[in-house]
Amino acid sequence: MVSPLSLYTISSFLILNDKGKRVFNKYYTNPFTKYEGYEKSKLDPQYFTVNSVDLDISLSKKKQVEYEKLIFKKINEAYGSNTNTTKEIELIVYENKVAIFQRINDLTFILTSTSPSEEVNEILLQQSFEGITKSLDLLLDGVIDSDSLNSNFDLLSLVVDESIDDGVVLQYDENSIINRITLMTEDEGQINLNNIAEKGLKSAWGFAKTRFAL
Amino acid sequence: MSTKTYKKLNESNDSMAIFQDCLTSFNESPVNPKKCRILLSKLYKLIINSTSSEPVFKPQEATSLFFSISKLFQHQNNDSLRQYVYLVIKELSTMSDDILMATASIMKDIQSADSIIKPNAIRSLVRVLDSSTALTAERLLKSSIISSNNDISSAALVSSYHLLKISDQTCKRLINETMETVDSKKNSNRLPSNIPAVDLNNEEIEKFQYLRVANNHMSQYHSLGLAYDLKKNDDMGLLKLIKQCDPTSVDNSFARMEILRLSLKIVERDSNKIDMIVPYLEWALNGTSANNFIILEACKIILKLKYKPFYSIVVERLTYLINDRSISSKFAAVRLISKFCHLFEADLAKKIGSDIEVLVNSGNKSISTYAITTLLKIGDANNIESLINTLKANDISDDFKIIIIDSLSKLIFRFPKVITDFLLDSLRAHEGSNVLKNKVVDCLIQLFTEDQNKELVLTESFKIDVLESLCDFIEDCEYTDVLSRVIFILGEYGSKISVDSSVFVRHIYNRINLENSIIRSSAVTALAKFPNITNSLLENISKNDVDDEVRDRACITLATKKLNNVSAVKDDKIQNNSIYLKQLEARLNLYVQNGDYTTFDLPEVPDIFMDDDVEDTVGEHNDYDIKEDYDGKNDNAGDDDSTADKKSEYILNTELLIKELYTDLGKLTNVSDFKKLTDDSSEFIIKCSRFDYDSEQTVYDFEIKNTLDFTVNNVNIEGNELEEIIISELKPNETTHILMKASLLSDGKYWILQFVADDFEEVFEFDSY
Repeated sequence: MVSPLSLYTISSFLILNDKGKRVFNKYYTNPFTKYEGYEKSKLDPQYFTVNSVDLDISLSKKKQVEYEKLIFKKINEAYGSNTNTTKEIELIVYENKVAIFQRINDLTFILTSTSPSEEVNEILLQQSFEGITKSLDLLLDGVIDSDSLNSNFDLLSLVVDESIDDGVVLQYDENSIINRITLMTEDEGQINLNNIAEKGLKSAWGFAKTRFAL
Repeated sequence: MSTKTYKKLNESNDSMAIFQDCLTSFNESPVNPKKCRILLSKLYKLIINSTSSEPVFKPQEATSLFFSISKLFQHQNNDSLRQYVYLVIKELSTMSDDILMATASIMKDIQSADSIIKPNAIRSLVRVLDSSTALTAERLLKSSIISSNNDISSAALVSSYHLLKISDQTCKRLINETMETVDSKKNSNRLPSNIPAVDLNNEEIEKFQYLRVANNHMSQYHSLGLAYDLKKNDDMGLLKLIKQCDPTSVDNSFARMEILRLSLKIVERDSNKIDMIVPYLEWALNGTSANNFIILEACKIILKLKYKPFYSIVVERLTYLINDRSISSKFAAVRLISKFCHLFEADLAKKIGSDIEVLVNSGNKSISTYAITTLLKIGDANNIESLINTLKANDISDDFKIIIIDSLSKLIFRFPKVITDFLLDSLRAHEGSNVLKNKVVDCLIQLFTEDQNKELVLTESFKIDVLESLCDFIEDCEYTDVLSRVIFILGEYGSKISVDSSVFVRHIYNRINLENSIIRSSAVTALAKFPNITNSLLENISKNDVDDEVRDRACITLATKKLNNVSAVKDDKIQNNSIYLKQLEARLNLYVQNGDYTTFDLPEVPDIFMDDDVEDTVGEHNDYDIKEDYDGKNDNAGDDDSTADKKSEYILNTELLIKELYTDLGKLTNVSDFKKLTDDSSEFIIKCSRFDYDSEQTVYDFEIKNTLDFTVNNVNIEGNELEEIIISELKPNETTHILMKASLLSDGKYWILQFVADDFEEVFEFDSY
C-alpha cells in the first residue's frame, strides 16, 4: 500500500496507436526495484518469464502488453473505436486505478495512477497529464500524431522524462517543461531556446524545423 | 539491390542495424551530434517499446554499446546531445553492470557550473549507484539540494527520494538541506546563474524576462515528500515540519496539497491536533485562487475526519467541482459524495442531489454510475424507477454493479418490485462475475428473510414470480456456489408457498440429473423441504447416486423422517451453547488426529466442566483467575469463549496423556482448576489440577515452572517409578507437566520434588494440600 503522502503518484504513461500498439510507454517504479529485477535475471535468465505473475507490472513485459491490450479494449468499448468519437480528456477506473486518457488524432494517451484509486487526487493526475500533452502540442506545433511523434521521438521522450521521474511528478507546468528541453542542432554549437527567445515559441519551432529537417 | 531498398534497410528499426549504426557513429571523431541524437532516440525507442521478456541486447552487446555511448561524454559543450545521453543511460542502468563506469563522468557534469543538463546528470547519478556507493553521492546531492535553481534542487530531491529504498542513511544526512528547501523560493531560470546582472543591456533583460516563466517551485513539493519520509516515525518532527510550512507561505500548489495530507496524517495519529489543522482546511476551502485539487484534497480530508462544522462549505465546494469543466473534477467530486453522502443531513443531501442528477446522463459511465448510486443512497427515491431504467440502459461494469447492488439492498424493502426486477436481470445476464451474482443472491435471501420475519409483506404471486425466475436461472448457470445457493432459496422458500409447489421440485430434481455432486447435495437438502412429494425421489437418490455425500444426505433425510421429523441433533443445544460447540470441535479435532475412527462419544463432551469446588481447595486461592494460570499471559477478562476453548483443549490433551500412563481409570468425571502450591517467588512455581475418575481414582497434574537461571535435570516427584514421567531436563523459565496418580504419592504432609542441578541432587519440599 502506497502512503497517500508518497511522491510516487504515477504507475505508467502510455501512448498507443489506433491498433493498440505501443508508440511510447513508460512503466514506473523505484529505479532500484528495477535494478534488483535485473540482478535476479542475471542469476536466473528465466526470472522475468517464470515469475511474471508476482512481478510488478513495470518489470514484466508480458503483463504490460496484457495491460495495454485490456485498457485499449476497455476504452474502445466505452467510447467507440472510432478515433473521432471523443477528443476530450476522459477518465476511467481500471483495476482500482484511475486512468486518465485522451484521444489525439490516431493516438491514445493514457496515464495511470499508482495507488488504489481512493487515495489518489484525480485533478492532480489530470494536471500532470495535461502538462505532457500541452508541452508536446507546443513543441510539435499542434501536430500530434504517430508520424510526428515517431520523427520527433527525442522530444517526446525528453518531455516525458522531464515531467515524470520514475513515478514522481517532476514538473506539471508546460512552460517549465519546455524550458528544459533542448532542441537539436546541425552544427557543433548548441542552439536552444535562449538564442531565439525573442521570437517566441512558434518561431522557435520554425527555426528548429529548418535545422532539423529529416 | 536497388537504392530504394538499401535506404529502407538502412532506416529500418531492426535492433542489429541500430546497434551497428550506434557503434560506428559514436566512435567517429568528431561526432555528428545530430546524427547521434537521432540514433540514440531510435535506440531508446527500441529498448522501451520492446514487448518481449528477453532483454533487447545480449550482455556483450550491451557492454560494447555502453562503451560507445560513454565516448560521447568526451564531446563537451553539446547539451542537446548530452541530455539525451543521460536519458539513455538511465534506461540502460537497469540492463547492464558496466554503467557504473559512467559515474565519474556524470559526477564531473554535476560539479561543473550550472547548466541545463545538470538536473539530468543528477537524476542519472542515482541510477548508477548501489547501496555501497550511495554515500559518495552525498556531498553532490547536498550542494544540489540547496541550489538556487528550482530544477536542480528538484532533481536532487527526487533522486534522494529514490535513494531512500537502498540507503536511508545517506538520505538522513540530507535532512537539514531538505528542510531548508521546504519554504524557500527558488528561481527556475534555465540560464546560468552566474551571469552578472550589470552586463545585460535592455534587450537582453527582456529576453531573460521572457524566459523567466512562471515559477511554480516544484522543489517545495519534492522536499516535503522527502522530509515526510525521513521523519515519518518522529511525531514531534512532523509537527515541526507542518508548523514550518504553513500552506499560505508555501506557494507551490502540489506542495500545499502535500501539507494538507500531512496534516491529515498528524490528526490520524493524534486526534487532539485537529484544532491545529482546521485553519489550514478553512484556508484551502476558501482560497479563491487555490487550485482545484487543493479544494478536493481539503474536502476529502474533512469527510475522512468527519469534521462536521465544515460540511456545508464542503458541499458547496463539491458542487462547484461537479460543475467544473474538467472530467477529473467531476469524477472526483461525485465519487467522494457517493462514498460519504450518508454523513450529510437531509437538507444538505437534497441540495447536492439536484446537481448530481445532471450527471446521471453524463457521457462518462463511471460518473453516471456514481451519480446514480449517490441518488439511490440519498434520495427519497421518488424517481427510483427511472433511475433503475437508466441503469439498465447503461452498460455498466461489474464493479459498479456491485456498488449499486449494495446501495439497492438498503432500499429493497421500500421498492421490492422494481429492485427485484433489476436484480433478476443482472442475475440472468450472461456476463457477470461470480462475486456479482453472489451479491444478488445475498440480496434476494435478505428479501425473503425479511418477508418471513413479517417486516415486509410480499404478495404470494410476486414471490411465485421471483421463484419461477430463479427456476429458469438454475437451468443455465455456470457458478456452482451461486447455483447451490439459489437451490437453497427454492427449497427454503418454495416449500412455504401455499399453492402447488411441485414446479419447484421438478426444477430442483432436474439438477439432480444434470449437475455435479456439490449441486446434487444441495438439491437433496432442498428436496427434503418438500416432504410430501419427494420421498420416493429421495429413496431413489439414496440408492443410485454415484456420490457418497449425495447418498448420505438422502439417507439422513429419509431416516430423520422416520423418526417423526425429529431432527438428529437438538437445535437448542447447538444454537445456544457455544461452549458445547467449542468442546465438540476440540473433541472432533482430537478424534481426527487419533486416526481411530471406531467410536465417537458425543454425549461425553458436555459433561466435562471445570469445577472450583473441590474439597481440598486452598482457601486463599479461590479468587484468582483461571486464565492467568493457563497460559501465563493476562488476556483481558471477558473472553469466556477462548478460555473455555483452551480449557477443553487442555482437558482433552491431558486426558490423553493420562490414558497412556495409567490404565483402568474409567471415565473422567471431574477436573479441578489449577491451584498454586508454591509462592510466586519460589524457585519453582508449582501448580496442580486434579482429574477425578469414576473408578474413584484421582490423577494430579503438576505444572512445574523453573524460575532459576540454570537448567535442572531429572525432575521427579517422590513415589513415582514410571520412567516416562521423569523430566530429564528443565531449562530456565520452561514449564513442564508431571502426571501422578494420587495413590502413588507418599502420604504425609509434604511431597518431595527431586532434581539434579550442577551435579548435586536437590530436594524440594512443598506442602501437600
